[in-house]
Amino acid sequence: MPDTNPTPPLGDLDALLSQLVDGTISPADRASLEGMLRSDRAVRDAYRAFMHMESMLAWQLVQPPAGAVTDAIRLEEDRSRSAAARIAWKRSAAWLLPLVATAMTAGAIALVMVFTVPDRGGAPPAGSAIDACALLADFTDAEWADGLQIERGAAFAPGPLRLVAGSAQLRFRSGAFVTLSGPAEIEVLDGNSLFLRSGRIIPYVPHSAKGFTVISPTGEVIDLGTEFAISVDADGQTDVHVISGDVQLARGRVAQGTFLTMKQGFGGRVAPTAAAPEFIDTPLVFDDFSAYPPTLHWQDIDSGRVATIHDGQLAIPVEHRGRGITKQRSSRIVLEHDFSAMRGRRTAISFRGLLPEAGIDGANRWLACVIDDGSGDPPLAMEREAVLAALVSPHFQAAARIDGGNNQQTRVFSRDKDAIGPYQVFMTIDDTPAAHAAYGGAVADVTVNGQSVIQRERICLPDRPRIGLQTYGSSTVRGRGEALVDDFSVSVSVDAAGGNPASEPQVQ
Amino acid sequence: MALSHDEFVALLTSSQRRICGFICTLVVDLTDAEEVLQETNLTLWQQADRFEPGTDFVAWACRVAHFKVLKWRDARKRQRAHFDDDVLDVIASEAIEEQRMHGQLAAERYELRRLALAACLDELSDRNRNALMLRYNGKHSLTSIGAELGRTANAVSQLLHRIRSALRECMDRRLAETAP
Repeated sequence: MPDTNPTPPLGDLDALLSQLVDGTISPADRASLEGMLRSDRAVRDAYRAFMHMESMLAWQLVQPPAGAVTDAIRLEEDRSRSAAARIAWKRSAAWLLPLVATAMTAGAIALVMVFTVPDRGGAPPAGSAIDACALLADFTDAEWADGLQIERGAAFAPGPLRLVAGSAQLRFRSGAFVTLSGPAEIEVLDGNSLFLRSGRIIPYVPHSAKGFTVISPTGEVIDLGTEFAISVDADGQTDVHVISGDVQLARGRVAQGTFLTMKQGFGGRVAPTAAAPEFIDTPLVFDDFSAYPPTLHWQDIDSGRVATIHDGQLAIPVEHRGRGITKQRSSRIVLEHDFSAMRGRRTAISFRGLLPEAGIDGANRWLACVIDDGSGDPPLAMEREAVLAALVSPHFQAAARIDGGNNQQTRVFSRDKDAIGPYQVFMTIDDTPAAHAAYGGAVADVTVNGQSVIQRERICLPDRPRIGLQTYGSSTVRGRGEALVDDFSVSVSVDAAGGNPASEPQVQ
Repeated sequence: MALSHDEFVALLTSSQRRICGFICTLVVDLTDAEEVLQETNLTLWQQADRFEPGTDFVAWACRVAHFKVLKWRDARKRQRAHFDDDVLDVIASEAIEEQRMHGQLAAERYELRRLALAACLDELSDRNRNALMLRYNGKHSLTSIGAELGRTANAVSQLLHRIRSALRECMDRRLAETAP
């Protein structure tokens, strides 16, 4: 067999291949290696065997998430110190996202301010010019204005940036991640602030980025938690939705004005003409699993038991059994509640999920939030009866399955091998008249750890939606673990039409 | 009869290492290989319906991966490529052909080699293992690994070569022992 040949046909082939992968090969040696590869099948087989070993080494030596987090943090600390580390950071940026999520303290409160800039013409404020305020960490189908091509890792100085379509993720110098969903128009101001002219962004603010500032045209001071979505429409109206953490939303600075305190699941709006911010989303259900029995009724369909709550989290078994051939097993937990209020409104579902690490090495496993029509057996995430499913998995960081009439499709994003979470999952379903006018029906968005998975995809929202959580495990090795879910909320828009009583704008 | 999604996902996840290995032979750099692997996964997932059960999954996945590598090379034309396209295409088609003809054998052999490698890694000295961790886990440059180990970049390059050769010999020895 070719790749079990113990010795390469040429004594120095191994040395050349080593230099090739380490980037130290001389141009002359590279050319002679290429010649050997071209003319000799045995050299090609040896080369393939060598590269397979390279790849195996990389898979074998990747540390578990705990170590990787330390690595990510160390890279963060290093990046201001050495140019080499900065390059490493640039190359890793896209991979760090789930790790940063892990490193984040759950209770971290970031201060995010939005304040009035009525006369902004697009020029950055004086004295804020600093090179490389942000980097392009990642993007999906991103289309920039003026046909601009931007590579991953590209640095942004202060200046405007217009995303026409797709999504993109900026990593600010402070450590904040900002996901832009096109069309969106922003302006990078400095390493810890941006101006949102129009569109929708989801800042994901770790502890280090406290004080991250978003300026919007209507402008209010917002003191916010760890993750939120903020959008600005053509009139400058600013909407904020809390994904996790606590938020204070005010006109003027929080210290000076009236403000709304919003927890997870709440949404608030600052209209151009309103005197004060007002609630636009209110939680339909919220469960932080701190009480037992839980405040909400969670039914385990597969075992017939009431779901297990321990240590303030909902625990869902992930198990698989068998040897030799792959066996699969699912657990489904359904939230028994009347969700018919979702019809005609905008709904946001948010929760934090963690997948088990121990005891299921090498196993495929996932946790999914599944929406279906409420009839019959709750479908698995991948079944046709599921209207919308958002999945997180160590193998496929996030995926979504949509069934919008004939538009059935699946999207998957693999981001970082073997990261078990935590994953902050945020799903929105917009069934408002505005969505029907623009898209011909309800549309869904799914975001995981600030990363956009699907955007504005058509779904068929049933009359009586049901919401469930599902785990899945598959392995040739017997194993059992638990997926943990915390801070589960479903909120709906208070006023689908979005009319606001006119009032005098308050002058700061 | 198409595979169920669950079956498909199980196949896809269990084949990740081997698809990545294939991509690695074509792009050389491990970080680049991971990037192409993600693109490949996305396409495999989207085109799951086109996979014919009964045929070799890895061979199909490698064909998709090969297209992704070509696309990826096109996008980076101005950058230095390691080898000419014709050489890489021959390597790719030989690998796919072997996988298509001897898929089951290749899968078993891969698994044996992987287990042998894991055992051989355990036999390494702490110092050598540490050098490999720095190289593969942190994806550091030779210069920064050298700084960490108190060696020059050139010495690190020599060290890595020696460790790889030792691992290779150890694997061959173990595989010879386990062979029927």
